[in-house]
Amino acid sequence: MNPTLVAGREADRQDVTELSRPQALEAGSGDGTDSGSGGRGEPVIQVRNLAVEFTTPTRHVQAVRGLDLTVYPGEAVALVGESGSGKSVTSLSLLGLTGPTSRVTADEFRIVGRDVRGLRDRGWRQIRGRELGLVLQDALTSLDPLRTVGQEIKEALRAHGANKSGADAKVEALLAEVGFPDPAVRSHQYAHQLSGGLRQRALIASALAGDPKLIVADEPTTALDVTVQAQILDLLAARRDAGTALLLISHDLAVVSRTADRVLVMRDGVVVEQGSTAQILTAPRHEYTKALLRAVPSAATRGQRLSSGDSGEPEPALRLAQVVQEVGTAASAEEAAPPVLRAAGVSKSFEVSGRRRLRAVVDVDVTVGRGQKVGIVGESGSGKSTLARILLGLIAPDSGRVEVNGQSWRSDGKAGRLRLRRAVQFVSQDSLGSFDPRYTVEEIVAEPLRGLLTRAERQERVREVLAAAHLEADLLKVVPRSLSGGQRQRVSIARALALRPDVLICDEPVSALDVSIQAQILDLLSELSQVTGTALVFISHDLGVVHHLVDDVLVMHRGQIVEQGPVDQVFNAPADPYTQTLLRAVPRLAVR
Amino acid sequence: MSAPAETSVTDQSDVVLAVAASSPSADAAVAPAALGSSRRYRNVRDTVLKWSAGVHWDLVFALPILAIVALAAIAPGALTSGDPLDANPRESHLPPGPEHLAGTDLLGRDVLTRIIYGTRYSVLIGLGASTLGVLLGLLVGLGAAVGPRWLDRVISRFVDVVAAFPGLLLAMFLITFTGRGAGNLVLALGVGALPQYARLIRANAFVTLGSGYVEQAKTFGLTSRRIVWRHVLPNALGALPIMITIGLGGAIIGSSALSFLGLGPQPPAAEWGLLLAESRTYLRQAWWGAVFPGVALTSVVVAATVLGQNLQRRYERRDR
Repeated sequence: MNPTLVAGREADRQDVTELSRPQALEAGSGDGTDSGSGGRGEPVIQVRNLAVEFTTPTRHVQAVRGLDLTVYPGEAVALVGESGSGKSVTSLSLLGLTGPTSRVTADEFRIVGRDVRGLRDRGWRQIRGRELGLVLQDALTSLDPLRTVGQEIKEALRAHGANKSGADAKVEALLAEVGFPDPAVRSHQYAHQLSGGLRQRALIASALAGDPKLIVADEPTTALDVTVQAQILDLLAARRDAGTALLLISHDLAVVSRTADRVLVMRDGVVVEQGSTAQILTAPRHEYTKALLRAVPSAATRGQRLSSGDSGEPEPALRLAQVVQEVGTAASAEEAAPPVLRAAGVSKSFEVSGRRRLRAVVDVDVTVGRGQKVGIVGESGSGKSTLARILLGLIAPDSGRVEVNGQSWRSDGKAGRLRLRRAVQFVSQDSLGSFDPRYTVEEIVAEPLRGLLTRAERQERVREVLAAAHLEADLLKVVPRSLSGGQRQRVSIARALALRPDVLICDEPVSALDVSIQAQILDLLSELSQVTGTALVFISHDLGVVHHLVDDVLVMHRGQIVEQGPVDQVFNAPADPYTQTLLRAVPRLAVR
Repeated sequence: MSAPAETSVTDQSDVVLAVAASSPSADAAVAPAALGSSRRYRNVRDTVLKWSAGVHWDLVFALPILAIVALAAIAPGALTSGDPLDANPRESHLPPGPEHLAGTDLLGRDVLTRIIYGTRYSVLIGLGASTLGVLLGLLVGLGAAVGPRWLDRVISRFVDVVAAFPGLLLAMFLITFTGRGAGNLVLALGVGALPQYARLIRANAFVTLGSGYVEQAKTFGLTSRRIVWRHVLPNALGALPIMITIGLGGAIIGSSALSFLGLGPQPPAAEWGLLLAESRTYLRQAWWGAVFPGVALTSVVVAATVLGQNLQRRYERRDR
């Protein structure tokens, strides 16, 4: 890129940093926002005291209150918060997309200098795409399955008055701009024929079609693998450097810290803290920001609690200690016993589209010792989940064998296999989907015990494992859909513990959760494995989480294990080139 | 000011505030707070909107109709003092009037009374056929879903063949073997409706079998039979009342159609389809003989369908 241009940009960014200092002190009063606009042109967005309310017949929700936001051209601003913090509602309100049940008010609301208060749909349509482009999280559902990517982008072009001739060339130019390989060919493909990363690029291309002054990107990389995520963030940063303003909405501080100049931290509809990225990361002032930063798992947090212990005091774990003793004595009796879980030379392939076979797992060896915590990392499609199901005995491998406590899934006949299953329990990512919708929490947790224990014993055990998972007993009669995400995952873990298994296989157990909830669940898992001596197989795409939690790690790539060993060794001195790429792509908190 | 008066004033202002705070603005426009008289108007409007927003107007019409129909089916004597078979040739084809609200037929029988007494036939045959179809569908569909793969193939092809014939045609075909009459009509319509239910239940069962909780149940060491009893069957049963209600409308039309063709209950029974058939010839002279049974039939079918769809919507929303 043109060096002088880059230099100018740098200067701009310093300017931003200086500006945001005093602003952060006032934490949302926003009066300092307007003063520094000189020299950088007119702000793309200027909002003062924004409030968004939603009213339904049964409920009234104030989603956003007193929000001030100013974004200048060429500036990247991040809105960070957990689910329900109002960050997405804020982004939608900037495009007038909050829907008919909402009510948006503001003292000042200007987009590229134009007052948009009281604007009707027709007026908003002139702003959408032309002034502000929106990039949504879920690229698969945001793209029309019946149209090619090229048609999708062409529609966006035409909405902004592009004529038919030359539209094809423009589409190709846009696709090339967002790094589409072979745009002339690829523009004729449908969304389902593209990878997640390419879909996201296509979405960005259609958002760029109207040449907007600001791109609003709502969790643009959340569903993507780390390596792809890095590419998308670079792409957005390049747009920013080219002069387009960027409003990045994310739950992930690390993702944002890479690209954003300024960060606004939101909670319950209010901006609790704002400042330059460096200031937020190094010297957070608000307790919530501090808690958020503390909750991010990484190598540095190994052996520490991540959540600020408001729920998890070790008291209930004491009760489980008795359980451990039972398990423990059994374990010590067979000290030289075989590992709880061992897979040798396991392979599995699936038939895809006629003759082609997808080799999901290729010649994998895994050994999990008693009480050991083993992590399996890899990007989507690397075969992690297939491996989990093979270890669980849910899928029979094409070749190789899996042994639980020295007994093979295959050897023992049906009855033996069913007994063996109780030693290996499963916690899945989608905990709600793993509950029968008709069941209450009590029934869910008691289900594995039916036919094994008497009713009274069952009740006793259910109480015990719920307490161990730090769940209140008054949740017993509640149906899972009225639980929060964190509570659901706790119920799922409690249920997995009910059979007192030797090993717990967790497939992405925290990837659907907010950082602070994730921190609590991770704390719970490490506490339980410590207290009960249950071995853990922890599958995740998140290297930070894995580094925080496990002892040994396996790196999977295209069905194969490319590297394995103690987690510190693998992550600090990766030997395999793929592991190195993976680690490089991980977004880190820029300053720590 | 006296104490009670004061409380009432504060109460009132509280109400206004509450209403103002929860005002559902119909648009997302950014607008400063409205002032003055328009505010009062908006408060009133919003209050009315709020009260009426939760009301299902379709159900407000459907439920009373179904209540009357249920009463007519159970105790027709409660709605009319007449006798549906009470012929009086001297009062043949009287138009609707204070004596006979829906007029009389060729034999001087009161049409309204006959409609009311006919409810039992039409609704019970419809209900019976709908229930029978769903139960047969449950058996066949579950068998296909949880049985061995060859059984699924056999059943699915069989269902395909049955589904190739329109339900009504199939029912007529069956009646040629079983003979006419109310019981045989139920059987024939039930079998005719089997394919659609069997397919639906099979598909439902496959969804359950592929769900996270069935996978989880396997890891508990449950046998597949246990899993079917514990998860697949109950989850399939949950939707049955809804399917029966939705199917009811179609089954009532089917039963009336077959009766109209003379394949159902025989005269002088007051079945609705039969009423239509009997008055068809005199439609020019005595429109009331066909129109009122037709209106009764239509409104019951629509009401049953509305109720069924509402139940379904509620059922589908339960996960959220």
